[in-house]
Amino acid sequence: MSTIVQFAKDVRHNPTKLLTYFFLVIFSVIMILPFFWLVTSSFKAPDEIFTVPIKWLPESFGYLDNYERAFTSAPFGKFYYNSLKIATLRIIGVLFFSSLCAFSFAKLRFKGKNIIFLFILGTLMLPAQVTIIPTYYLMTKLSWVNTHLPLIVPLFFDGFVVFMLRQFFLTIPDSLLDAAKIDGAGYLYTFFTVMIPLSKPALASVSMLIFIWSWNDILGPLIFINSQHLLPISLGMNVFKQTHNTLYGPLFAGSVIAQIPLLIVFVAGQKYFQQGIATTGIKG
Amino acid sequence: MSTRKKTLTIVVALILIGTMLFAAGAKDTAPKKGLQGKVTFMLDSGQVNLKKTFLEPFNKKYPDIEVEFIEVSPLERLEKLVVMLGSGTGPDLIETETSYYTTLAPNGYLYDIDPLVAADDSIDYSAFDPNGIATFRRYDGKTRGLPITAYNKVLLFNKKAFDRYGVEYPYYGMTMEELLEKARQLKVKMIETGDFQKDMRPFCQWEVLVEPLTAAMGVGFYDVNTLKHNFDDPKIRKAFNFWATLWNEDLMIIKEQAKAKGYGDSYKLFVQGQYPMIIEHSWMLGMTQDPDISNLPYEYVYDVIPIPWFEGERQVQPPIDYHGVAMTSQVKNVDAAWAVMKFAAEEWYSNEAILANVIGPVSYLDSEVNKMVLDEKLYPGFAHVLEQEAAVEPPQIMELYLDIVWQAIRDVMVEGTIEKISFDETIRRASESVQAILDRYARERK
Repeated sequence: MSTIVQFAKDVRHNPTKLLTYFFLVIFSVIMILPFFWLVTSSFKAPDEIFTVPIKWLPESFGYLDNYERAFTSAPFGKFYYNSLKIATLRIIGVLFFSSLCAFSFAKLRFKGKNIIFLFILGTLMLPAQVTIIPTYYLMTKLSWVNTHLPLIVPLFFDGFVVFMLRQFFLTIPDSLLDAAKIDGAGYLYTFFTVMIPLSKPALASVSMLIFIWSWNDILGPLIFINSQHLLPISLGMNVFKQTHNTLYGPLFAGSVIAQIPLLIVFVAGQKYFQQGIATTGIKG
Repeated sequence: MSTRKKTLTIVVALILIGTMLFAAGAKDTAPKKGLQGKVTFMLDSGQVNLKKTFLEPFNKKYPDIEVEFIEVSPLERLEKLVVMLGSGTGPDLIETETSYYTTLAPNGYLYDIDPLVAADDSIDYSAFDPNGIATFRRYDGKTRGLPITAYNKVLLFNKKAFDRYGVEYPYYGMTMEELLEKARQLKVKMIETGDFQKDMRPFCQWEVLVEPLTAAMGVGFYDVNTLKHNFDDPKIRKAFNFWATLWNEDLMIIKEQAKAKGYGDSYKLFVQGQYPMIIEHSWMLGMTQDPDISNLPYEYVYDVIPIPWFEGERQVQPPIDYHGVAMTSQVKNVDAAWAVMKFAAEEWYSNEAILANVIGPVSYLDSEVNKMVLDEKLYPGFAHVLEQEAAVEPPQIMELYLDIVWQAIRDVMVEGTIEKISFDETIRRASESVQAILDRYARERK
């Protein structure tokens, strides 16, 4: 109610805001429509899904065959576990290694710092498809193919995360570090006791972004994983895409189930997500 | 920096460098010759059950060869394969198809197996579909794969719809451009009459009909002329249609419902939506993504003609889309890989080829099959067969039929050996075997 009241006040003071709100609503509807259709289609019988004209709502939300089939046709629990495992380990590793790296670029002085940082930024220019073949070759030699390691370890060192955390660390006054130094703290101690506590918003943003990227990653699992029991949920749902047929109902149901953790994470950490974008100007 | 920290830094750096060098220098210790070691085999993730069937007899024959399957969704298989081959670590064997062959062969990724076949007395090309062999020789005359399954595409068109909209029927031999032109004419007429918006699925848009068309069944009993001749015979057409729908168990449900609506034995094809035309694999003539039959157009009767695919005058697709097994040029142990490839092609995959090519001929050679499975009174009689296979209620006709054919295949193939028989002989034996099974079931019914 207060939102509506505020809206009414805004419009009264500045009528052009009505136009702004109008366009915002239109674009919001456009953005949310596909997801809305996905969710409602997951409750539709197969012949309802692709009707023309489009049926936005199912006959009954009690049609749960698609969900039942999604769970019984594929080891969804296993896919979920794999996705959670990969995402969690990746977040832990990224937060540890990339934050250390960012700290050194932000607060330490050493020769060649700027050039090395430019190299790191340069890696952001390379799409994954360019490096996938040499990466696969390397993983083969390390015998890491068909394990989760290629999806976790190499991604501990993420140029974007280093950049993002560096930018945040730069905003922390040097005087805090100097005070710690005077008290006899070394670099590592300063990092863990001074920088990290002050960087919680940035670290939360990073965690969210890494979780979303990891959860939605398809290329990595496709290339590095050969066995179905190791697949994360992003690729696991391909069980519904057969050679000559796609089981759209169960596929949509599976997609809805797969999106739930992302929605939870996003809603819970929306503030940090916006901060992350604001800090770097990059959505990733 | 203190001395201790400097030392620690140097030691850590040395360990990291040493690890990288060690890993980079790591050699694959798998043996390069002989019937031993590991063979990697990339195939469609949907083949899991067949894979299990294959492993046991193979391991019995070749206990020292370990087969590692790399399962990938068919939609992404080529992408993954390209990365693996590009990095020089491709699998030893792959499940391939015509489109893969045309990509991989010119780039030197497929191994020429002619010398292997020539040196091996236990196999020769007469055991395989000759059209399939020809397909895998198309690039440079050297054989770079063994065919396992054939997929044919046909054009289904609804004569009533064409009559209604005043468009001439499609005909055998027309080009893709002519086909699309007919599709556009249909669409225009359908829009004029207001029919276009009635229950039309978006995926039936005429512009979507750009899949490569292949001539129907140039194999065995289904050469083009035979097909054209036989399709004048309603019995043949019925059997053909019925055969095709056996590959889709959903349609068995449709069949039941059709009978409940009074269609009796008069068999009709059901395709998704009310499409006047559709191009599909011949064995999926009745395939539908919508097993719910309530909206399916029972009143539509479709006719089927084979269509080759031309661009202007030039035929750009082979008559049949073959799937096969091929050895890559990055194979690590040719001897072991050849043993797997040979076994897979002759023992495992050739069964599929038989399924694809025998069921059809058997169906139209013996209409008893049709009577048998259409007669619901017979279902309880076959329940004992399904019980052995942990049957699912209600009995699935496809499983029943496959059981019959598998039994026929077991009779054809001498267990544990690869018998040298020609492709035609395989079909003949399978047909005889199925007939014997039908006779036995007929006696049991009495």
